[in-house]
Amino acid sequence: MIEHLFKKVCESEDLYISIIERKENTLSVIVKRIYIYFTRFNCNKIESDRYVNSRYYLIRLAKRIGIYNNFNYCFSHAGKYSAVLVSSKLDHMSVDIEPINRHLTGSLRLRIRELFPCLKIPEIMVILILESLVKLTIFYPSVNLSKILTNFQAINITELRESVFEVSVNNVMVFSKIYTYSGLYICITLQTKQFDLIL
Amino acid sequence: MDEKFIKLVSEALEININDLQGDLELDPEDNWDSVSILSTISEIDAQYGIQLDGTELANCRKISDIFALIKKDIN
Repeated sequence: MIEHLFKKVCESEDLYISIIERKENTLSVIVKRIYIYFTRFNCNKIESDRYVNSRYYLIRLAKRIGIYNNFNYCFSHAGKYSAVLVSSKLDHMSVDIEPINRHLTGSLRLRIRELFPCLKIPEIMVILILESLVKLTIFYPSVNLSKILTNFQAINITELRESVFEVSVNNVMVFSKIYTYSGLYICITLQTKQFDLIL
Repeated sequence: MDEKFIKLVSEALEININDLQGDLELDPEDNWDSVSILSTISEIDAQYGIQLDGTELANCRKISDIFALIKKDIN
């Protein structure tokens, strides 16, 4: 496992982001699976190598930054890469990553354009924002991507400044920032627009 | 599964149409992630005029399961 990035996103909220590349051999995964078995991450997903590798990294990371006893987290995976947001303070935070060159079908691009005609950004960036909303529990009802595509759930996205967006769902407001890093788009969504991280 | 559906899956999952002869397995950790599901929803809407539920689609484990959802909706 290679840690490509580890940085603080928001000074006041003790929020960090990591990007890792999962490169593991079978023996290493078995050892980690046993380790995970005795932690709070033991569940039916323990059969998945991706789950084991990412949670093992998360535990080590939380111990490294001294927040193991109390932390929240959010994962996103894209191919061999995983991103994790971790904080000892924040409850509502999310991350989504996708390769910059991720292929979208013509019909999906068209649908995104129809839904968000004012946004002058690549369609994949809009999808990143939407995907990050799905992981947040502050919205009621929760965000459902298929309902957005079929006009059954309305979401307003406004670009505040370059790569920072104000997002409103059922009168609940959050803020997203999209970073570009090593061939990936990284979208972080928070309740504050204080994004101290510069990549 | 008809030719129109195979072409749709090929486009949505970025798989060469020649590799779609059998009943392809859908792996949520590989070829069946959220973007693939969104692409499939929008393609099915465009090609068949059917709006499938994302959760039902996410539970599909083979492309024949997707086709079954389409057929169910048409019938």
